[in-house]
Amino acid sequence: MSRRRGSLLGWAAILVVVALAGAPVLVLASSVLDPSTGIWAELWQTRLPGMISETALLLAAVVTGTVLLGTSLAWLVSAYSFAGRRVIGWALVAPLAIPGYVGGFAWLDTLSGVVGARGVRSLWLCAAVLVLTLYPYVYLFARAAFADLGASTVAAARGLGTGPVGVFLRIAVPACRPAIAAGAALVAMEVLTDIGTVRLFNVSTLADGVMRVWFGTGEREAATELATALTGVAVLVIAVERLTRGGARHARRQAGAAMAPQQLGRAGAAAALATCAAIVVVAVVVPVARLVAWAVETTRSGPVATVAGGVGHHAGSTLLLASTAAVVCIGLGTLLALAVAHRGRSARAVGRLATLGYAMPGPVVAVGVVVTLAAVDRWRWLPAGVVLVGSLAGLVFALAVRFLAVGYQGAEASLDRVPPSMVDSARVLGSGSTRVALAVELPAIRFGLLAASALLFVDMVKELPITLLLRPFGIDTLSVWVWQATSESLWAQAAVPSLVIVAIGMAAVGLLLVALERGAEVVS
Amino acid sequence: MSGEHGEGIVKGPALEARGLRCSLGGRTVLDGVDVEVPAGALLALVGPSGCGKSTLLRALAGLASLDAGRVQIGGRDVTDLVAERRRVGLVFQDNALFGHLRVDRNVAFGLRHLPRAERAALVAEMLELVGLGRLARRYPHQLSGGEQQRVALARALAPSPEVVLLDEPFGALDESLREDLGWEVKSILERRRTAAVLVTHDRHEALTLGDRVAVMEVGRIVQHGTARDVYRAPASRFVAGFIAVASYLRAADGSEVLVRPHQLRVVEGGPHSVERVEFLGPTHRYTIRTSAGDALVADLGPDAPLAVGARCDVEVLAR
Repeated sequence: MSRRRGSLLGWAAILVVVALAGAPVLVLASSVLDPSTGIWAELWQTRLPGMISETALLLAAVVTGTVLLGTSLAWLVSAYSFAGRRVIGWALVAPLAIPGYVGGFAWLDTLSGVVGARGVRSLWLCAAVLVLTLYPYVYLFARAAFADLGASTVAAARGLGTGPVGVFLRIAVPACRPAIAAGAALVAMEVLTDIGTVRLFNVSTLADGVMRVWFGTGEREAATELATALTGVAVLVIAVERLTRGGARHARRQAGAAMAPQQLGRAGAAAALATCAAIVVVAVVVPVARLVAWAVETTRSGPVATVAGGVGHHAGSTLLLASTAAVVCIGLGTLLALAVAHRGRSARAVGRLATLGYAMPGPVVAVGVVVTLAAVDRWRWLPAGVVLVGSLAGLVFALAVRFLAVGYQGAEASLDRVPPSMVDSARVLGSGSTRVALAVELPAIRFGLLAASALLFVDMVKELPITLLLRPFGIDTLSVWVWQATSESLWAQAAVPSLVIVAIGMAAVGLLLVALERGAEVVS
Repeated sequence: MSGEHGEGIVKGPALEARGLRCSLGGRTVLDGVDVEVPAGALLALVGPSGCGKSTLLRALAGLASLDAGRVQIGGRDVTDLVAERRRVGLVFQDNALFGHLRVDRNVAFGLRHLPRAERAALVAEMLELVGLGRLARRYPHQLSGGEQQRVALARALAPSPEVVLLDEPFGALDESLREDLGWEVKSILERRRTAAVLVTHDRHEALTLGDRVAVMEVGRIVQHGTARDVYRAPASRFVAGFIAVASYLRAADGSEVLVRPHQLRVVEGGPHSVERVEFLGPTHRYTIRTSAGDALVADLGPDAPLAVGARCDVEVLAR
């Protein structure tokens, strides 16, 4: 009997989480069925074609760049052994802590001295900056997949007369295609959701359009229609990723030993280290050095106390918001993953609905959540005086809709690696599903959850569009500060909050690396 | 043989299952299986991979759901009980120890109902029983494969279950270790007077360790008896060939008689020919092609081994 009750409770939990996470997406989808033709016609004649082509071009450039850079760097540190490999291998993840809009304005200023203020505002430079800040997604996924490549597979290929380049192109890349595709899909989502970097380089993408229309003209219908068009592109990206996977999932570790890295000679080792170091310098050291110089300049010229006070207030808001949202995402995601586990395929399919928000670019989620919450407010279901739009709860809800997938997939991927016999043993030893979850499953996936939390935290600290659209009065995050300063080209003013973002991000990335070292899984 | 006539008290079977049916994904995996394990006895459940023996074990433990049939453990009908209430012990091939818990905490996992002091005493006793008292504070990954498997056994035995189910517990171990650990596990179970079901695909393991042997073939138990019975009087050609090497001699009336390799002696010269010679250490194993075209396997032969292709004859020794 108790089994039946537990089962119903689990299903109820699954449905509640999925309904909450899916509502804004469904609300938006319903607006597709009821398009306002007047606005569409106007958009088509004016801005939309340009936005679509710029979005597509930027997307193609950044995805290509990150796949090439991320995969080859991952192969270099996975397949070869050279002095400093371990340290540089982890340092290559550091750009994850640098938001595109921060790296963007540091490089923008540095480059405008070279190519002039006009020439610098180009789609290609924007793509280059995004590649340098986003390649770690592909790099991390590809490294994890290369680590699972069996030594015997590589040895067999060698034995059949395949050289090192052949092993990379004919064995490693095809075997790890699902992982690389998953990383590339994440990159694509980040590009579609980006509003800060594209604004810096004057690239008018669909996400940028949503923000401009929302803030500029206040035509909410037009913004909603644009958001729908953006969703269309996102759906296309997901479809392409599924096709690339070709039904294959992230390859499981092959039996036997992992591939042993090949020792490089003196010259080869120097070249490998120099290549990796050059990337780290361009992606991390140069922008951070520029930020530090500005920050020093600002603190010299202005009163230190004011700057410190501003940093304290904004950093406080950022930490409060990021940790609340991360805890909500990891908590609900883990609950959902635990409820879905051992419930078969249909439960998994329902669970996946909760991750729809992750496929939606930030501005889209923001618009969907505003529309949903406004409806709830209008229907007056809540006690008088409680308004969701513009509340902290509303903002956290929107962030949870967008990022729940990170927590859910992190927990699910780790749970997949818990041997079923372990859960069975616990049950046979007299544990009900609650104790199995608390005493066996949660401890077993702790590093997976740590990795997912770190990833979530970085995402939240960098997040811009949702925070910008939904933040309540008094919640001024560091990212919003940077956004406001950079939109008026006040680079020096943006430097201090940028540095704080990077510092918080680096701490979270460090935590992520610790978790990965201990065998955490980030994707399923 | 042990607990069967234990203290002269007539006790019901430790485990009794009748008419178990189970299908997974439209495929019938268990097709009317009956199992009975007397108190304190070890039943070896043997069969080729995919015959349903692991599913049977999971069904007995309550981990696989049944379409039909009843399961009784210690005289108590547990068919409608979930796994956590059946009070059986379970040991897996991959030991399934909880990696985040120390050895003693692993063993204590099923003892939450006991007061702390009693629990600690029982854990110490169990670890002594499996000879690992000194490793109580280690973590599973710091132990060897054989040690891990002993911890898994101690953990399964700690709550004093009526029956312990062992799913290929020695499958992941080296051959040299496997045999010793097998005997040790058997003697531990005997000391605790705990009945057990040992699932294995290793016929040697089944014959040597099992007080009783049940042979499974595609979802059914095709023979159930003592190791001796199953070896000497197999119920079918499948059982005969699965449990040990079998040859058949054709009698004059056309019927066939089962002979084991040790019952056949090869002699030089004759109507048959030697097809293969394997060196087994103490003897040579000959595969003989008879003039009628049948294959016979014999373990006895002349002192100087015959060569492949040599003419030969076979003599049948009394059983």
